[in-house]
Formats: sequence, C-alpha cells, structure tokens
Amino acid sequence: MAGVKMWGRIDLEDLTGIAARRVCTGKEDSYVLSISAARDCLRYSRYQPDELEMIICCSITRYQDGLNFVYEPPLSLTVKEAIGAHRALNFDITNACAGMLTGVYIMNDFIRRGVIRRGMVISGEYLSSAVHNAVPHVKTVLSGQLASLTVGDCGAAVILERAPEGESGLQVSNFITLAKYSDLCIGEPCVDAPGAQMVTAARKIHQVAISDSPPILKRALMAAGLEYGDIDHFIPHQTSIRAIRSGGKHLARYLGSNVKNIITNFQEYGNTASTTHFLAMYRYLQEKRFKKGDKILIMAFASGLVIGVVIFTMDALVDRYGSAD
Amino acid sequence: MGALIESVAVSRPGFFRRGSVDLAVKAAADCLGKVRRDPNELGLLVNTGIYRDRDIGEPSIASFIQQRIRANELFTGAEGTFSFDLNNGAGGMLTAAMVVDGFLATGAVKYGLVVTSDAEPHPGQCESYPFVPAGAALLLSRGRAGEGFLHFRTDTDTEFAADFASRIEWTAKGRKKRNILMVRQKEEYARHCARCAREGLADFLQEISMPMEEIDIVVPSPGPPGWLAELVREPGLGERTVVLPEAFARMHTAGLGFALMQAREDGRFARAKNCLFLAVGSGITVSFALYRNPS
Repeated sequence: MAGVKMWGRIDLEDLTGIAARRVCTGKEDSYVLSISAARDCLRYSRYQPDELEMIICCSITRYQDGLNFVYEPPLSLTVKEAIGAHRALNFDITNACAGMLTGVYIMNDFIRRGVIRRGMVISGEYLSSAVHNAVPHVKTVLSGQLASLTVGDCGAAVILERAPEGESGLQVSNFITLAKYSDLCIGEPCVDAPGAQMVTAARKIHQVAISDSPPILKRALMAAGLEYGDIDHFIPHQTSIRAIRSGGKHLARYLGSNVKNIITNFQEYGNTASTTHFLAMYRYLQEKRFKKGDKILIMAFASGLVIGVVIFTMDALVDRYGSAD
Repeated sequence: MGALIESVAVSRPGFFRRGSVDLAVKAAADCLGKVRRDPNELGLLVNTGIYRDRDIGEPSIASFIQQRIRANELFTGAEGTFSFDLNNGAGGMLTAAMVVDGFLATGAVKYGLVVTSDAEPHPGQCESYPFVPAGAALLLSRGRAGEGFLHFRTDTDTEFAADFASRIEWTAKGRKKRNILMVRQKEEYARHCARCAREGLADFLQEISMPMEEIDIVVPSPGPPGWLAELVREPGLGERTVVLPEAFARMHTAGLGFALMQAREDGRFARAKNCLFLAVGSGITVSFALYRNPS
C-alpha cells in the first residue's frame, strides 16, 4: 500500500476499515491454498479423502506454479489427485465472489437427491497480483482499481454431507443474477504485468446491492419461515466497513427488525473474494462463538451481479471445533 | 425422470460475430427462438466455454450471455435467472447437463440452458491455440419418468493428465512480455482419449445394465482430431457413432453440440430410442450420458 500515491489526504484504512490482509509467500498460489484448505477441512471431519464423491473448485484465480492461470485440465482435477480424492467427480465453477456459495448450491442439490453422499467445495484465492498491479493506477478515491487494493489471499474448503434425519440442513439456498449489471466489475489478466487486474464501479455495485437485495432476502426468509430478527449470525460479503454498515442498516429498515450479530473479518483479512464467508465462519468456529441451533444467514454479492442467500441452522459441526455452550 | 432436450442450436463466426460471447449469444438466442421460449423462463444458465474474450475471469461469461439474451436482467419479484460458468474441459456440456438435470428434477427450475463457446482470447497472440471458434446451446426441460437424461458418469485417468494442458503464462512475445495463453498438446493425446473412452464405456454399459446392441446412436465430442477414428474401431461402435467431417474435430466444448445437431438434422437422433453421449477432454476426462428419447 505504501506505493499508492493518491491526490489528497486519504487514509485507506479509514476508508475501507481494512487494517491488514494476508499475502501469499513466493511458494503459494491458488493450487497450494486449495490443497492446504482441503487437508485442513478433512482434519476436522470424520472422512478420508477417498470418501469424497465430488470436488468443486470455485476460485476466481486458478494460479499454479506462481502466476500461471490454469484452464485445462481443470484445477479441481489436480486438487483432487493431490489430496487423494481419486474417486470424486470433479469440475470447476466460476462465479466471481459467489463461487464457493454457487458450489454449495450445486452440491446441495446432488446431496438432497441422493446422487452423492458427501463432497467438498474448495477455493484458493491468490489475489495479491491485482493489488500490486493496481497500485500505480490508483490516483483518487474514484479510481476504478481502488477496490483491488482491498483484496487478500485465502484458501477455504467446506465438506457438505446429508443432514441426519430430522435435522434441517441447508434451509434455503437462493441465487439470482442481475445481468443488467454484469459489466460493473471486470477481472482479467493484466496488460503489463504478471497476474490480474480488476476494474470496478464500486459505488454503482453498492447502490444496486442496497436497492435490490432486500426483496431477494425477504423472499428467502419467507421460504425459511423466518424473520430477519430470528437470525443469530449474518455473514455478509466482506468488502468494507462503510458498505457493510450502510447495507446492514438498510436491510434492517426494510425488513423491520435486525439480526442479532453481523460477522465481519475484513479488518484482519481484507476482501478474500469467494472464500470470504467461509473464512469468517472458520474463525468463528475456532473462537467457539457459534452455538448449536444458531440460525446463520450468509449473503453473497458478486460481480455478475449475483445476489445469493444461504440460510442454515448450526449443527454438530460446532462440536468438532468446540462450541460456546 | 430426466432432463429433456427441448432444443439445440450451434453457431459459427460471422461478420459481426467473432468473440466467444457473440458465439454463445447467437447459439443461445437461436436455441430459445426455435421453440419460441421466452428467455425470462430460464431458471439456470450455465456456460461451459473455456477460451473466452480477453481471458475474462470475473464475472462469469454466463452473466454476459444472460444480459445479451435478456433473460431476467433485473429482479422483478418473480423467479429470476441464475448464471455461472462451469469448466470441465471438452465434456463441460455433459457435466452442465447433469447439474441442470438435478435442478429440473427437484422442480427448482422449469428450464435450464447449457451454452458454450470458445474463441481465441486475443486473436493471433496465443501460443499453439488449436481450436476453431464455435458455439452451441442446449435447452433442457423436465421430462417424464424414463425419458431424457437417465444416467451420467464421468471417469478421469490422470495418467495422461499432461497430454493436454492450457494456461496463461507471463511470457515474452516479440519484444514485450505479456500474459499469453499457452496450449500444449502431446501427439498421443487422441490415442489416449480413445483408450480411456473404450475402458470407461464398458463400465458405463455395465452400470446401466444395457448391452451395446441396445444403444441406437452414439453422439460423441468430435475432437481431438483423430480420436474418433480410433474409437470407432471398437466392434459395434462404428455404425452407431455420429462422425463429423475432420474439420469439426478442431472444435472444443461446442463440438458435442455440433454432433447432436448433425444427428438431429439427418433424423438419426429422432429415430433412436437410447442415445449415448460421449465426450473426452483434458485430464483425461471421459463423460458419458444415457439419453432416452420420449416415445
């Protein structure tokens, strides 16, 4: 960040609320982050890798051996072989910051229908190159690459399995793409440096998210038979302090009540794209701040423009990390 | 019950149609237009193309396609359209059909569109890019019991994973370094694809308890060049397999759509009861699907 030379006295930490973020070392990339997260996830589960029946890799970045972006074979194939899930059906998903939740949405359908018993959704986001490549271009707070300065690297993995009889599992997973706004954030290979560049109309995205998400969330809550105030923990996409505060206020006003807790972690990690919700959940599990029976609401806002809602009740998962009870 | 193929369409480059999104939009619009289906009825739109304009990684190419065909661009309170990209090499269309099939079966969506296209991301600047530009689309709806896609299977044999690889690398091109798409393909790739397909086919037929004699038509992905010639040497496959001219073997993810289109146009698909879809791609990944035509 030291290299950013903007007009006026702008404190980026004050503007975004982000105090720190994680950056890959020279030996890490999307592939390494993915397999590290997958192995860590398996450690907390009761399964061996060869018991996984599906592997979906969902990161925006698919860097391997440094900043080489892999198209084929799909990253999920390399990852499943590396972790030993040789029997698993694999494919990659791209859906910007909603990638992991899209993977969950798809896998949930396969599990509900009994096609598979369990599988893993993985993402390894090696986003630092977008930060480095944005630094020379950010001159004002209106810069299209300002949002690139907020991203951080992270790997995340989640194992999904069929809920035991009588337990609700994922109560709602509801996604919609408001394609009219598909060009508000474009990420592509940088023209003059290794890695990526990202140009974002951040204000416009925020306006659309504010105006269009409340009715979509209301519909999802109705499908789950819940009020907004029934939600114990709300995990929004981790963008910036201003976006989350104003978004939270607007949702509360529209829905007539407020959630009990909004989970944020961007202060320490920045915006880790598709892994953001699961990183937040992982930290809360580690800190033993969830209780069995807590109602969790996850909301995705992603380029496309994708708005996604996932609602579930925290179950025995807390026992494997340690619960607040 | 399985997903029914309601319509199929393909696209080739035209004067104003050169990029991957253009090709996909043309195929998608034609696919919907053939059966006069309103784009707003689409619940899912899955793009399985790999080589895309400018190598855009975010947002999904599917969202651009959704915008251009005007499928629920905005939330109106009714059901919307959800779009995303799925990458599983040349077999992506079958993997996407499997995903859409699930959402149709549960009634979560009424119609799903699988669309695909590939075009050289930066024409003339990629290294050894082997594919011709093409697009295809498949409109799927919910079928009755015993109809449509009834069974899917995907096998991977990573012994030959290095046979085909593509990635964007920071490489010198002329005087400057750039992010360039590099495609590496070994000579043995086609032969290995045929070998993996033959091995997997026996397992698939066993899994669905159906002898080859009961398969009326085989709709294969036409590429990589030479693989089909190897495959059809297998007894029983030659007369059943849709073989496109060699030029089509240089199509990538859309190739399967072209083979299906050919089978529909010459009437072989309509006459068939049991159809076997078979796609091979990098990995090596072999995808199979059994499709039963409505009686």
